[in-house]
Amino acid sequence: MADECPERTSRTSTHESSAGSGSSAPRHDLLSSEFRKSYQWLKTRIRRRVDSPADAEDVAASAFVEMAEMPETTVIHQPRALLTTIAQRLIFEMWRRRDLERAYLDALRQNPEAVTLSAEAMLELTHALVAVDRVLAGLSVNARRAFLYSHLDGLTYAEIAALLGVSVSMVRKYMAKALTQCLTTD
Amino acid sequence: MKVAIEWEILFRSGEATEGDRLSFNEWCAAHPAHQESWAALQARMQPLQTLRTNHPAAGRQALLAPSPSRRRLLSAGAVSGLTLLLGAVGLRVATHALSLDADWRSGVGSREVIDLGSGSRLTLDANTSLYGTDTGADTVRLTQGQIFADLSEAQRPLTVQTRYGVVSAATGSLNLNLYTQHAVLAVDGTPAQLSLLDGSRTVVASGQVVAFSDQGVAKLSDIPTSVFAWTSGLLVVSDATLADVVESLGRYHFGILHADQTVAGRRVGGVFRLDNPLGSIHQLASSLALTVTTYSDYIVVLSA
Repeated sequence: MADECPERTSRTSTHESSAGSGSSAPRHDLLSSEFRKSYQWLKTRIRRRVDSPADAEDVAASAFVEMAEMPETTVIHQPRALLTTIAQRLIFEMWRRRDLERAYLDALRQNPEAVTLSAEAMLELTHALVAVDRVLAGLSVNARRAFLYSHLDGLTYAEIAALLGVSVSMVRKYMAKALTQCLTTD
Repeated sequence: MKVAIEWEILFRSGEATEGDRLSFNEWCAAHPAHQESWAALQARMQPLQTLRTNHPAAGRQALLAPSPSRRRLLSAGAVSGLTLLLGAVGLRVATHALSLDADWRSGVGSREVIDLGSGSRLTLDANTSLYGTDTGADTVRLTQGQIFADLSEAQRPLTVQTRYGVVSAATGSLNLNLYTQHAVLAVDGTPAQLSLLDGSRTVVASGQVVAFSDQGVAKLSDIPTSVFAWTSGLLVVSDATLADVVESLGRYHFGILHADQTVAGRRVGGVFRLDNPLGSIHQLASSLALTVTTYSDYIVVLSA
């Protein structure tokens, strides 16, 4: 997929810089020997859960990058277990990202006027969707709706309260929750 | 930061006045830190700006759409580790789907009395959700909050399902409080049957108070009449965790009351007024020598 390429490139370059510069010898040795031993193994495991070899490659590489970027103070006892855990999260995030993209494009298709998006615009929108989705994770459906009606549609709290069938003070509570998550989500 | 959130909430309400805007400008000018915190909050919301300027309705629909892959993952018989993560996600998704269509729901800060039609009278604590079930008029499912059931005139036994187990009783009164981590059952004037999810059954005798969860059943030292006191606006606890007390008070607070992880397990006893949750929080803080941090009126955190 076209939108995957820039991301993969940037992750690889991060990997090179972090492995090349500050890392101390033991960590570096661990990483390079682990890469030789486990890269194929990890890719094969991931391949069972994703649709294409390119996705498996992407997830496996990203999992190694994440392990490399963990602080030196983190002691890695079982690299393969750690890599598996990271990879599983990455697969999950990848699927979530694609679901968001698909749902967004589906919604656009319902639009009577034809809308076309450039690959760059779609990439930017996908990043925004993923970022907002992370902030909203764990909020109730009503809180998500309230927050989005306010921020995307510009509705007043009274309008939102009427739409959701809740009180205005409840809408304020939803907003406070969502904004707090906005500040605390990495 | 907390004040920046307050301003943001005010400006989005549609009720901000010219005076509010002037006060906001004064606040911004009063200290460089104010302006910084406002800018930081706005920077955090940059992705929303991107969505707003490009087909906002599509963005909203995408973010509210159910996630097919999540379901695919859940049914895939996942590899170790993944099951745990997704179990949590799946549970959350399911909870959200359910909360929308509760048959009886009480708002924050307001208790409600309902009649099941066969003589069973139920009092719902604030912020409680209760569902009817297909199995019969006297079987309900409690998904959030607390209920007190007066069964003295009940023609049929009442059965209450929860995520930790099922309780039934034929007469007398029972109280069921569903916390995040466990549930507490108090029975008076009747024995109650308690069935846990693992199939084990326990009879809870009249006058007993028990806690139950996936971990089993544990007898508590409380007495039912003090457990019932919330129905008249008082929270009476003899030996509860701070987390549970804060959760009970939270049903009466428009916003978030939270006990920090490091103090959540502290034991608490006392009498607290439910109609004044913030006052009760300060009372707790002074008796346990805890710090209360208030981020706007909405978010209140107790910590060491």
